[in-house]
Amino acid sequence: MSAMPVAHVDPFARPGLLTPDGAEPIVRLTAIEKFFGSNHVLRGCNLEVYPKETICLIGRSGSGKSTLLRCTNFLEEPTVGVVEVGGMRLEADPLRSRSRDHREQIRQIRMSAQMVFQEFNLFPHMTVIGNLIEAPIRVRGLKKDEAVAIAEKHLERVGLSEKRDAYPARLSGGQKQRVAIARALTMEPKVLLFDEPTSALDPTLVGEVVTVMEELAHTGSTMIVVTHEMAFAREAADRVYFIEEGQFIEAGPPEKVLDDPQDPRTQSFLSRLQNRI
Amino acid sequence: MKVRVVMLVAAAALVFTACSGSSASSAPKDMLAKIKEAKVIRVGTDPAYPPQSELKPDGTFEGFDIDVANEIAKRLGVTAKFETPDFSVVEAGKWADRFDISVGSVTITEQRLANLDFTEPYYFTPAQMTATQASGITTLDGLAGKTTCVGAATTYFQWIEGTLKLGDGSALTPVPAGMKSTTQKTDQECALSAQSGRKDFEGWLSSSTTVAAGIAGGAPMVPVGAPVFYEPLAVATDKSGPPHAELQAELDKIIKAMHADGTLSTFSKKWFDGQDLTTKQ
Amino acid sequence: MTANATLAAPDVEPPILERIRASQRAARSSFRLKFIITWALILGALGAAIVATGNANPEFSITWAPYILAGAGLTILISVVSIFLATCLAIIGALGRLSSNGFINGAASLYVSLVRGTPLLVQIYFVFFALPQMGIVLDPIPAGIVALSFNYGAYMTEIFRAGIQAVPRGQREAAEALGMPERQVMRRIVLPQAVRIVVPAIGNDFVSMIKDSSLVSVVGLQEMLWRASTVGRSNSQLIQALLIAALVYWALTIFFSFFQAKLEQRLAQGDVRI
Repeated sequence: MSAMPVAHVDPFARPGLLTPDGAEPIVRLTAIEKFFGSNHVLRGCNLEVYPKETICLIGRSGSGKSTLLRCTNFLEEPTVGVVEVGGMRLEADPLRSRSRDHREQIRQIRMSAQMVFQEFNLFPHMTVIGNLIEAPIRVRGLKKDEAVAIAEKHLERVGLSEKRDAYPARLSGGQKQRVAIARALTMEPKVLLFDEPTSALDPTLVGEVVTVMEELAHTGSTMIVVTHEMAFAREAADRVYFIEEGQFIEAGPPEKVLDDPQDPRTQSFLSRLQNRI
Repeated sequence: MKVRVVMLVAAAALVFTACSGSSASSAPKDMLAKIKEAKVIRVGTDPAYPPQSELKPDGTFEGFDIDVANEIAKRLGVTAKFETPDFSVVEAGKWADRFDISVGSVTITEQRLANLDFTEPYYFTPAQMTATQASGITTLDGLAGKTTCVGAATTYFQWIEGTLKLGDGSALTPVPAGMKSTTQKTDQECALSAQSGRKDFEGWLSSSTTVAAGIAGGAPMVPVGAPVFYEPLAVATDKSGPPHAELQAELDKIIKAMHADGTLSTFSKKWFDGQDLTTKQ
Repeated sequence: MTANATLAAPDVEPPILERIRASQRAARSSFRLKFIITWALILGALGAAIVATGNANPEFSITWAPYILAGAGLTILISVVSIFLATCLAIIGALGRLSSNGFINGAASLYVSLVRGTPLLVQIYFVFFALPQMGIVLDPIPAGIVALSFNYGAYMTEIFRAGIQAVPRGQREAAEALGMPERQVMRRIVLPQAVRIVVPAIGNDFVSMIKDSSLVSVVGLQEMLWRASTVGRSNSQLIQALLIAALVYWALTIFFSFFQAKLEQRLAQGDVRI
C-alpha cells in the first residue's frame, strides 16, 4: 500500500473495525459522474474504503449502484471523476479511452480490484480449477504449480475442493458463485467487488454464498458489495451507503442506516424492501 | 498502430510490383528451346470425344489426336504430357503458360486467329447435320425455322449464328432460313438430350465423327443432307503466350512431313473407319 | 406417490414405470423401423426407375467405376485443405469485421462483399488465368485450393462473426475484469466458445465444399466429377457415369457428417447438465 493524498472526499468514511491503525483508504472514488447518452446516471459520488473494511451499497434498480461499482474497475468508463485503487490513480478519460496507455492502466487497476458478477460468468469450456488458474498464469505470470496451489487453497476456503475437476455446467447456482468468488480470490486482489452476487440465485442457495462472504468479511477482506441482502449488511458491513438517482443520500453503520434511517427517501426504500419479504 | 498498417501496405505494394516486374524482365526464350530442355511438351486435350480422344480405364488417353500428339512429340525428341482443360479455356487463348499446344481438333476460324496461332491443318472433318427421328425431317431445308442443338463455343454454333469464318476461307452451305440454335455445354449432351426423350430441338449439328459416335451410342438421330462445311483442324498455340515463333515453325515442318510420309493418313484410316480425312474435300 | 407405494419397501418401483419404459422402447423401435422402411422404399423406387430407363449398365460400371472412384482422392484432398484454410481466413476475417480500426475493418468487409458477391467459377478462372498475368503462377491443385479457400472463407467469416457475437457479453466482461488484455480475451475465452457455436455451420460448409470442389475441373484437374462426365460422354453413358459419381459423393458426405456429429459431441462435453 502506498501513500495517498490525505484530502478526504467522503464525509461518511472512517476506518473500519479491522482496519490497522493509521491506515489510509485503499479505494477512493472522487466526484464520479456517468452519463449513458443523455441519462445522468451518476451525479457525483465520493466513496472511500479503508483496508479490511466491508462496504455495502444499497438502492433501488436504476439508482446507479451497479454502475458505480463497475466504474471502480472501469467496466464502465466514468464520464468525469478519479478512481484510486491500492495506490494506482486513474482519471476518467472518455475521449481517450481507447489509447494503449489508458487501457494498460485500467488493466493494472483491474488486477487489484477483482469482481464477482450476478451471473457468475464462469468459463464453461474450462474446469473449475482451470477457471481459477487461467488469469493468475496468463495475467500475473505465475507458474502453473504456484497458481494451482493458491487456487486449491481458496477453493477449499469456499468449500468446493471436491469439485476441482468438474465443469461449471455440472454445478448448482450456489456452487458456481462460490467458484466465482474463489476465482476472484486466487488473483489475490486488494479489494473485492460484488455486483448483486445473490440476486440470480434460488433462495435456498443464497445461504451458502452469504456464508462465504461473511467469512471473508470477518477475516479482513476489503469488500464493496452491491446487494439487497440486508441480513448480510447487518452481519458483516462496516458501513452501508444508500444511493438514489446517482447520489449518496445517507451512509453509516448498518444499525444506523437500516434500523434508524434519517432521510425520507431511505425510509421509503427500506419499508418497500421489507414489505416484499 | 496506424504507422504499422501503412508500413504493411507499403511492403505489400513493393512485393507486388517486384513480382510483376520480374516476369517482364526475364530473358525471353523461345518455347521450342524450353520444351526441348524440359524434354516434355504439355498438350491440351478433351478426352470425351472418341475417336479423337478418349479415356482408357487406367486413366491414360487414346485416339486420333492422341496419336498425332505423341508423334509430334517424338519428332521433337520429347515426350507428350496431356492436360485436360475445358475446351472454352483452350478456345479463348491466354492459357497463362499452363500448357504448350492444343492437339484437340480445333477448327481454324478468323475469330480464333485473334487469340490462337495455328499450324497448317492436319485434317478436315465434315460438319454433319442430323435430325431427330421423331421430327421426321429428311432434308436440310426441312429444318428451316426449326431449332438445332450445338455444343457451346463450337464452329457449329457460329455457323447457325452466321458468324463463322473459316480460316482457310472455304465455302459454307447457307443456313436454312430462320433456323435457331440452342446450346448444351458439349456436343454429346445434345445427343443425350434427344436420347432421353426431350423435345427441345429438331436438329443436331456436329462433326461427322462425333455424330457417328452419337448415333452408334443410341441417339435417335438421322443424318440429313450433305456436310454443311468442311473444317480445317489444326494444332494451336497461345498467341499471348511466351515467344513461340520457332516452335510454330517446327510444328508446321513436322505436320507437313507427317502429311507427306503418310503418317497422318495411316492414323486417320486407323481411327476413322478407314476414311482418310487428311486432305481437303 | 400412491398409498400402496408408501407402504411397500422403498426400493420397489410401481409396476407402471416398467410398462412406461416398455412402451417408450416400442415407440422408438417403431420409429426406427418406419425410418428405415422409408429410406429403403424411396431408394428402391429410384433404383428401379434408373434400371427401367436403361441407365443401369453393369458392364460399363465395372469397367469405369474404379477410374471414377480414384478421383475421390483428389476431391477429398482439395476439400480438406480448403476448408482448413477457409477456417483460418474466416477467423481473421471475422476479427477484422469486428475491429474498430477503419483500415482493417474496411479490408475485411470488402473481402466478404466481393468474394461472396461473385461466382465461385469466376474466382477459379481468375486465380488460374488472371493471377499469372500479375506474376503469380500457381500449379493447378494449389490454384484450386486457393480459389476454394478464399471463396468459402468469405462465407464463413460471417458465420464466425455471428458466432463471436453470440458468446454472452458476461464472458468477455469476466475475462476483462480478471485483467486479461484484449488478445487474450479473444484467444482464450471468446473464440473457443465461438468455435463451439459455429461447428455445425462449418460442418455444413464442408459437406457443401466436397461438391463445389468439382468446379476446379474446368482448369484441368481430373477430380471425380470430371472423370465421370468425360467417361460418360465418350461412351454415351453420361447419366450412368454421373450416378456413380453421385453415389460416391453421397458416401463421402455421410462419412464426414458422422465425424462432425462426433466432434460436436466432444465439444459439448462441458455442456452436459446434471
